[in-house]
Amino acid sequence: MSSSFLNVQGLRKSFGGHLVVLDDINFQMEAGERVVVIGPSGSGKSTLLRCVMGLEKIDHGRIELEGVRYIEANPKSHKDNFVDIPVRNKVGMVFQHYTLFPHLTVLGNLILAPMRARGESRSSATQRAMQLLGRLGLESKAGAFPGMLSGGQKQRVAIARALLLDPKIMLFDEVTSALDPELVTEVEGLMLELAEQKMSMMIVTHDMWFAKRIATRVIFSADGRIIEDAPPSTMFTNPREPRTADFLKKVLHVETIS
Amino acid sequence: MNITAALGFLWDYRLALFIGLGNTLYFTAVGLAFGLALGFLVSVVRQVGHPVLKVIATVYVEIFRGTPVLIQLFWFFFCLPALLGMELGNVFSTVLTLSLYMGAISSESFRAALKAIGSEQRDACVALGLPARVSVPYVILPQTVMRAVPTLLSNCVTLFKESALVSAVGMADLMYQGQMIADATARPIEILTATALIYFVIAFSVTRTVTFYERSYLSRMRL
Repeated sequence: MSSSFLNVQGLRKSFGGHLVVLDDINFQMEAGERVVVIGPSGSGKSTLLRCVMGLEKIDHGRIELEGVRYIEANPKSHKDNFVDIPVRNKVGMVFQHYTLFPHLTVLGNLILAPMRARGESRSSATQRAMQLLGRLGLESKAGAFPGMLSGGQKQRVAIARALLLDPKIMLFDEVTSALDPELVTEVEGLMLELAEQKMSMMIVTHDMWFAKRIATRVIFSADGRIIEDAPPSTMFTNPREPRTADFLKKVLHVETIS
Repeated sequence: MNITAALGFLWDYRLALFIGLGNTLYFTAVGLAFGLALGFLVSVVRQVGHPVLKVIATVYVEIFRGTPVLIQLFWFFFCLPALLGMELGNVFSTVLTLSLYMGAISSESFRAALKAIGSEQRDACVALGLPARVSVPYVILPQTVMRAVPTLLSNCVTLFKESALVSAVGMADLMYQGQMIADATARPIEILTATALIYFVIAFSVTRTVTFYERSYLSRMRL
């Protein structure tokens, strides 16, 4: 048991037993940290987030939140993971493709889990949802269906839906990748607001400028391993590992960003 | 042809046609009720059922989709009672055939709709901590039904029209009544045209409803 806020130990994930996507991942983060994971496509960044959320069965290792183990591989069977669902439910996640429920209104999307899974009354859930939507400037959209919203609005609703469950940590998996460039700022702006409120976050993004702005720590991963783990100031200006430098050079078309 | 005379002639037989239409709607409605329930069940079995059940369900669906309804009707009217050595009753045989046929074609619509719900929706359910008792009735089922509605309504129209075949085994549906009047009066043009028109008006309204539903509802939700 560790005192870290989030503790990933010896995490190994393969698909079909041979395609190893994550190999012996060990990392810890403290509450209020904002860890951005960068790396080439197929390096396992999204899979790492999906494992922390419990969306993927892991082959080996364990994951703890606030010192409590909530996911652990079963050494006898790869298909069978130990999952402590109440602890896992303290983790919130937002996906690249919004994943709003298209048949429910914005308000319906927000209050479904609090009402049906957590036993909150409709009036209380609605009140909290409307407050949150108000804060995000989406109050007028409460009765709209997701199909009627812009990409940026959808993604902010998706973030609001996760926030309404009071998560201890939020996972963001390429949440701006599907958005038109002019809509990216409204979503990033909301994430920066959450950062100011000291929300713990793990973020996978291809946007290095945003990574530099929001991260307290940056992890560079490649081939299913963590290659470098450093504060953004070091990572983007003076990376230790040649592979990190190579990658940053490719994605930024310049040596470093200042 | 004198239109007024033709309409007057049809008016004389309105009751017979009306009874026929009533029977057609009855066979269609009962076939739909049992067929839709069976179709949903079969689609779920084919998705998550025991391997043996899956094979049985698949064989059933393929047989009923791959043979003419007319043969199915004859088989349940003449062959099944002979094999069982007992009377089944004409209405029972009719309803049984139509239900099994509808079950087979609607199970495919349900199956396609179930498959169309992406894994991302399931991921969202996990990320929101929704247990199956919440995610199935509030997320998966409504989307399945909504997606399946257009094809299911088309299936209904198909069943409604195919039900005319029950006239071949002597059931007094709209088609049968039309044929009888045409034979008795030797005026097939008026009667068969009127019968076709009745089928058309009903089928066409359902088809238009499908289009309206798809345009207004499904497109709004971008399902």
